[in-house]
Amino acid sequence: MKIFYRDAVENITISWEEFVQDINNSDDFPKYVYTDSFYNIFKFYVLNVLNETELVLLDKSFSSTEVEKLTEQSLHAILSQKNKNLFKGKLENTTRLFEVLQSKENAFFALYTSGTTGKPKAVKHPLANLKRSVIVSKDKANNIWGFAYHPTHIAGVQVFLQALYNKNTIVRLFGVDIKLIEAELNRFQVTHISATPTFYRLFSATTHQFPNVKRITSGGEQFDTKLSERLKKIFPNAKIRNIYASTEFGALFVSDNDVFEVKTQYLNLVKIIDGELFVHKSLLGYFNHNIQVNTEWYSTGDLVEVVNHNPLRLKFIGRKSEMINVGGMKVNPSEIEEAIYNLFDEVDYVRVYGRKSSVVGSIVCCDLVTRDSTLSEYKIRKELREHLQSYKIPRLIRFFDQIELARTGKAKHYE
Amino acid sequence: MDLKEIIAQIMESKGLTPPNILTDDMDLRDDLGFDSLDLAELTVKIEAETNIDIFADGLIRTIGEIKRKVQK
Repeated sequence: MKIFYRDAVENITISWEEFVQDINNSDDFPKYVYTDSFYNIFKFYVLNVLNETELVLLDKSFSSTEVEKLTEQSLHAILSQKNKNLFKGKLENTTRLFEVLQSKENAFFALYTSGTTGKPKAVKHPLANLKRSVIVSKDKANNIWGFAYHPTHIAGVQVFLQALYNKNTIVRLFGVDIKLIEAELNRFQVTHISATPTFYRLFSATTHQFPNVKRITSGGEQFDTKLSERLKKIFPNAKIRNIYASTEFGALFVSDNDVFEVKTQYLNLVKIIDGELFVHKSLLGYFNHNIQVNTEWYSTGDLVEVVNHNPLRLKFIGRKSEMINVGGMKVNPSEIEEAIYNLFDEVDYVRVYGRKSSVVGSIVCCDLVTRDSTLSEYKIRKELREHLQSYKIPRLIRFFDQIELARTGKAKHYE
Repeated sequence: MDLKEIIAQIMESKGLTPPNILTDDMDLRDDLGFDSLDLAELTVKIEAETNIDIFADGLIRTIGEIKRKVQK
């Protein structure tokens, strides 16, 4: 009995047969996904695809007030809206499920994104677009996925679809502590993990190795080569891949390290203006009709460096909005973060950010998590002085025992 | 709030030796070698402890001026 989904948090293990039966027995499913149960979320995804409807994904950590503001409806109204399952009683087995699944292309997944302006907006992704990054092949039939994103986020949807169409096993790692992750990786022989760099950094405190893992995929945040080296020690047999994606346009580029190659089919769909990456609107999911998208080129807010022109190879150097202006000098937080990771092995996590200053506009600050109790602000700044100009050095350093992972698996920002 | 400690921390971070005694007439720039970034750091650190932004009303030059600002 091949496992479809294993969840150590809910303590359930569901086989593919049980999953198909559950879908086959479902009378209906909600129009708005707003639940803590990852299993139910996956079930609703499949029902959405089968019935070719539009499913709106809401992370359960949104408060009811936030949900009502986003959707402009009452929570009660949202939760009472349902779609009928036209396939009830018609899916006798897994084979039949897949026959139907292959023929369905018209479903939509609507996700909320904070985008580059910070205010959440809804993006509708046609299934056909999301399937662009799904690769189905016989050699993927036995992949076992460590699922480390929240299912209601674009990366979670992408990983789920990849696992679904290949009839793989999914093992939940999101919201699971290190010791339990170690146990699940071994017990269920996970072969593929997809997660954010923050997830990997926090997991890298592990003292074990996981030779069964064949592929590590990272996305959603900037990836650094130091992390890559650490991961190679923990996952000695894994190939490491980095994905550039967003809620607005899904997965766009993939790379083995921090240099991304733009494939020929995307060459005329991307543009670089003043160091910022722009993508053509045809690559975007559909925005809510209330939002005007009348520009041809969508600004990603990501700054890139061209490392090669032909083929076009890019390196992501930071987010435009995160640049800190210190007395007129622009500081890239990613540069400082990378320097700290490179100079201090014992630092598990660091976030560099700006703080308003009545004297110079902004000053550089950082929050960090380290295993070394002897590491002090003085030590860090002394070392950084050898490598960075004065205005780039963090002037306020806060030490934390652990950083709360926000709903996206990215670190929650302290201001 | 230990002003002497904060000043010492900032100077040591730059590789400078802080003075044994801080007198009210000591000038932040001329006597202690503070540049604008050091002043910014000083402001932030004092604000963290006292909730007072000593530079809010304009430039502060001496130790005495800082003390008067935070005593309010």
